[in-house]
Amino acid sequence: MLRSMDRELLQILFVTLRMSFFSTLISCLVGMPLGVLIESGRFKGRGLIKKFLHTMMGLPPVVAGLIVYMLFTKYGPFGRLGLLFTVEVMVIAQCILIIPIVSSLTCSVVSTNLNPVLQSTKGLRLSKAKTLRLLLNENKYALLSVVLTAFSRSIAEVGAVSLVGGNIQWKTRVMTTAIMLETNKGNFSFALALGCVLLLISLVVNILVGVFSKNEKTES
Amino acid sequence: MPEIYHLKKSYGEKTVLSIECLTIEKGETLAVTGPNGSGKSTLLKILSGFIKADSGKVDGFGKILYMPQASYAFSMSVEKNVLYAMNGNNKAERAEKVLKMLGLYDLKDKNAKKLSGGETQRLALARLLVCECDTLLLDEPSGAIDIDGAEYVWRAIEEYKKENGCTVVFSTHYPSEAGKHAERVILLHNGQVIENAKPNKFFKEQKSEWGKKFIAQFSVNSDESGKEPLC
Repeated sequence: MLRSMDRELLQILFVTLRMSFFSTLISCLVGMPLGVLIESGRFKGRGLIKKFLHTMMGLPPVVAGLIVYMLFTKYGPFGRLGLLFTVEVMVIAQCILIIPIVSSLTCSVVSTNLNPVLQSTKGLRLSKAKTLRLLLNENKYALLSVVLTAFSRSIAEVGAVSLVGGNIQWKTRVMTTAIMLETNKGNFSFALALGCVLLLISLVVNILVGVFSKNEKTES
Repeated sequence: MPEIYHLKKSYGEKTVLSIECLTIEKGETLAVTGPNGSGKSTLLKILSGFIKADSGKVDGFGKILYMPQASYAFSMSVEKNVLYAMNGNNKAERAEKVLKMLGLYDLKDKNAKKLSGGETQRLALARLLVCECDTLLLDEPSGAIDIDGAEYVWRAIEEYKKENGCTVVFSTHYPSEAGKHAERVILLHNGQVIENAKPNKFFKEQKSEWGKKFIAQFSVNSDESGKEPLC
């Protein structure tokens, strides 16, 4: 099935990669600056916000899916947008799950050298934009690992995406929801093929994380 | 004229800095000396705005550039470290001049993370000296540097001061270094200024008993270690 590149398999792969790409991109664009701002800022409630993010890291995916479902259902506040059972709403559900993970991990990454960087940039009177760029540069390999972690989380997600996506063939079916369906139907060969592709992607991601970690150690 | 009035800083019950009044002449080089924990770094951090004092007034310092005690190299080449600190025109030219002054030009393409401790400290200074300011605050500028490196450092600071006419305030553990490079020296003890005089007077006549003991200690140590004699 893998060798023959079954049309449905390819379509599922495409939807999965499209969903994971956008949910990773948006989560990182929001989560990383948020993480840097939280870690570098000194304001009231900072500790509470960090605790909240840590708690949200453990948000059950089906609960996130349920919340998004209720928001985008026909009679929900965003029902008029007609986004339920689309890839777009799957991306939204995933972002709710992944942004806290990205923010918390970014806080941890940045905290390792935040003080010396801030002392240097404040001493030089550098702008906030230059300071932020520098913090991201100083931790680029670790932050790339955060991106790959976010991607891994996204591609392996099943609870939220099946609730809000509906697992519709040729539309919102992704690898994880397809594996569940095909296994329930007894179609093990198809499920196994998808599982192999998923494992292969996870392997590639893990190898990349290892390469970036090695580059970071070599550089320092 | 740079001035400090009623400056106080405490951590819990412990007062780490308490300066009633200190004025500095514009364009003067002031050395802040004292043992570990006397408040030297705290004073410079407060002047730079890195930490806030509990009370007091700091005025007249203008645009301040500050070099912390622990130097940090950005993850880029030596030259890019310096260029990153700069705004405006003629960046490459100014960077080259300062790198040459500090003996780092030959290392300009090297990854700054691979520099030695002394080279990193010179690089941190280079980042400051490519910018203009009214007051330069240096926390132990030659702390991690050998004698040759220290020559580069002090020559570069003198050159910068001549060009910019800025006020320089630096901290040091070594009164001899203070005497050699400063126009006035203050001695901190438990966060208070107990001596404040031009170098000659600072080393010859101390007002306080503790000041006398401190200077005497360094006189004895200088004789034993063969360091250059106090002025």
